[in-house]
Amino acid sequence: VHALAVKCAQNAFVTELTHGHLVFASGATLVAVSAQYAAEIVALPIVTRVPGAAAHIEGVFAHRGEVIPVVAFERLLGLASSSTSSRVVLLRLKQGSMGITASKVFGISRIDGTMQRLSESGVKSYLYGPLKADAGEVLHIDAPGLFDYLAGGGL
Amino acid sequence: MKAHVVKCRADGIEFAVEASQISSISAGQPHFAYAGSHRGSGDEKALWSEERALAVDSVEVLADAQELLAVSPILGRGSLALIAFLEWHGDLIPVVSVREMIQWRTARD
Repeated sequence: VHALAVKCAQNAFVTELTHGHLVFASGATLVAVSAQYAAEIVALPIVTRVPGAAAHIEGVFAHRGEVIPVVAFERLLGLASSSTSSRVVLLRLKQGSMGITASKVFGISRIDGTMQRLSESGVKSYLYGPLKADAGEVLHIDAPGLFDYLAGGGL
Repeated sequence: MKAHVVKCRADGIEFAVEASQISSISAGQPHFAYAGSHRGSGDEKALWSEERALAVDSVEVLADAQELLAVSPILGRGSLALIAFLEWHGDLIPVVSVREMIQWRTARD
């Protein structure tokens, strides 16, 4: 049963790879997220800081009647900020919405490669790569998995 | 969800509370017995909830019921006992639990 579940997950991932991905840079890291979740790219608004929130939460902003939490992606990975983010990639998932900081957006691209988690645990277990996109080597974000991880207070 | 809210400022932070959580609003230093060592402008008010008071520097009772925006689960509730957000003239104001604010401030003081 476990082997079947793993096979199904691999098939789902391979199927996802064949769909378009939004590729963007968050500092020095190129990131790809399935285009089905990338709803909008917005100029980084003035965010409201949330006292007591985790360090990777840049703040929140109101957008179309919803409060969007903005995740500082480099900070989430424990990296020093290497550039100023000017945009937010807004992801809409069935669990909710979140924004990820972006310093540059490359557009929709196919990505190729083999499924390999960066880590077996922690936040990096929701990142896969390195994979190939038109813009270069990218990390693929398992957006629903990452959302659930952050919502569960995984950090 | 719509609710009547009271917008406040304390310790330089603007926040709001649901009016249904407040039994009364009073003014004057004698009411701050339960509010810890808050030091304000000398013109403080107190929000009362279950015979305990939260001292604030200013209070604005909003006339109309306001649409409250849900808190994303990835935010957690933080130290402000966050229960919702209020969009007010383009700003997002945290809506907090009065009871938890009192507990938080009491613990802090």
